[in-house]
Amino acid sequence: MTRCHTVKLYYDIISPYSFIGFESLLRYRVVWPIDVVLKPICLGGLFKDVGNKPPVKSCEAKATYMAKEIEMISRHFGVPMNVPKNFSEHVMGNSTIDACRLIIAAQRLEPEKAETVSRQLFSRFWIENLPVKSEEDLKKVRFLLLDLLHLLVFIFPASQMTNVKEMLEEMKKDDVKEELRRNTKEVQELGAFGMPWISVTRMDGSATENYFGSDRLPIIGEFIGQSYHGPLRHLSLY
Amino acid sequence: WEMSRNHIIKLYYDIISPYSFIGFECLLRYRVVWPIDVVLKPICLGGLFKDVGNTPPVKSCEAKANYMAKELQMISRHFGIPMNVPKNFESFVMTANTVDACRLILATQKLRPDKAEEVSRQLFDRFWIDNKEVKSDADLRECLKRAMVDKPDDLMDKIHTPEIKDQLKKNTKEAQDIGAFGLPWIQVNKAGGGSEVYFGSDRLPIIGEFIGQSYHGPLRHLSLF
Repeated sequence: MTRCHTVKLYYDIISPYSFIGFESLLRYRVVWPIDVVLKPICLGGLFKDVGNKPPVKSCEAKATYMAKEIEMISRHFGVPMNVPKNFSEHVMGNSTIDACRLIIAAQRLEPEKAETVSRQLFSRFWIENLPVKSEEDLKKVRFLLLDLLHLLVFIFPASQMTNVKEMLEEMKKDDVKEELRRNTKEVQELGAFGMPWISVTRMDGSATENYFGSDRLPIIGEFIGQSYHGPLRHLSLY
Repeated sequence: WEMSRNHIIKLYYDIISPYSFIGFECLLRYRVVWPIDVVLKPICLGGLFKDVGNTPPVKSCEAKANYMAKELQMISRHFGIPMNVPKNFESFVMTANTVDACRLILATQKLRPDKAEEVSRQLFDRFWIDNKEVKSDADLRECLKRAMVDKPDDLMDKIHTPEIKDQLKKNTKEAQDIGAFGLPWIQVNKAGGGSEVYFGSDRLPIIGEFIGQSYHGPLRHLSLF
């Protein structure tokens, strides 16, 4: 019998609020009895399937405000996000499908590294503002990852690491592409129209609730009988 | 003896906006714990949407409209507000007209400023708890009665004057000029200087940090419902 509430986080690297939701939710594992299940999806595919459009395309005033708000909220959570001046092009002109497939590949080959891989990809896109479209980009992330892994191997005698080359091959497989599609369909069926999407099931299985956005931790806390303790900035990994 | 050292918070809202009701109640509640003055600024949301080229969120897509209906019940309960979202949520907001309701608030601010908050509350209550229109003279008079405003005729007469119509347009333009594209829109002016704007009813924790205060949750015990 599980002693934790199950929290499924649906996200895409292209989604700035997903980065905030990802960091703040994972941080809460130290104070709440929760298991967080990472579910990368394809946001472009979701938008198309539900007939929604990216928020930057609503109107200019909204795009302008989002750029400011993302920096403000991310700092509140101790995540040093940078919104590039070409914010609209940054989100409309880049593809993170391969990045999300890489996360799924990591989940299949090195599940305990999927979180770090996600973090590296988010950081690359939303702190360094570099694209993660090409294999060259992904190799760079891998290189950063390798540095981190070497640190991990030095500090913690770790279990064997799979060759990262295998991960790059794994992400090209049909299975992985299919899993990304499946995750996307799954979140659509839960009612999603945007990211992040958080699905919480109480540990006794009595109820499940769904939440859109990165602002709902206080309310999620109430749903699982826990208190919200603010952004826990001291637990930021930045 | 210094002038007020309170931070000035301007709340731009429209009765038709459900998140405005939530923002209105929780922000006003925080006057007991934060050194803030809240300035009420009713606007015309339909006019704002038109001027900035935005569409009402219920029209984004069906999944969003469905979620909003559920989310509003959930968040309002979190703040101790017994909001009801009617089954026909989309047509409820798309066919309603709250322009005269907002003009009534402005008229109250001019003639009975001490009652503007309660009149706003009764209008929100009627629309978002009773799910009744706030359009006709009879609707508005009922709200004035519940707000215990004597001499309602004075206020009702003032609603349709050019002065009040202009004031509503001015407030709407003011919100647009400070970047608004939806409601509620909150402008915080710190006592020592510095200003910031926020969209939505979720930003109290961050507003608190901006003015050097702590957020203490929804303060449900201060709910007036």
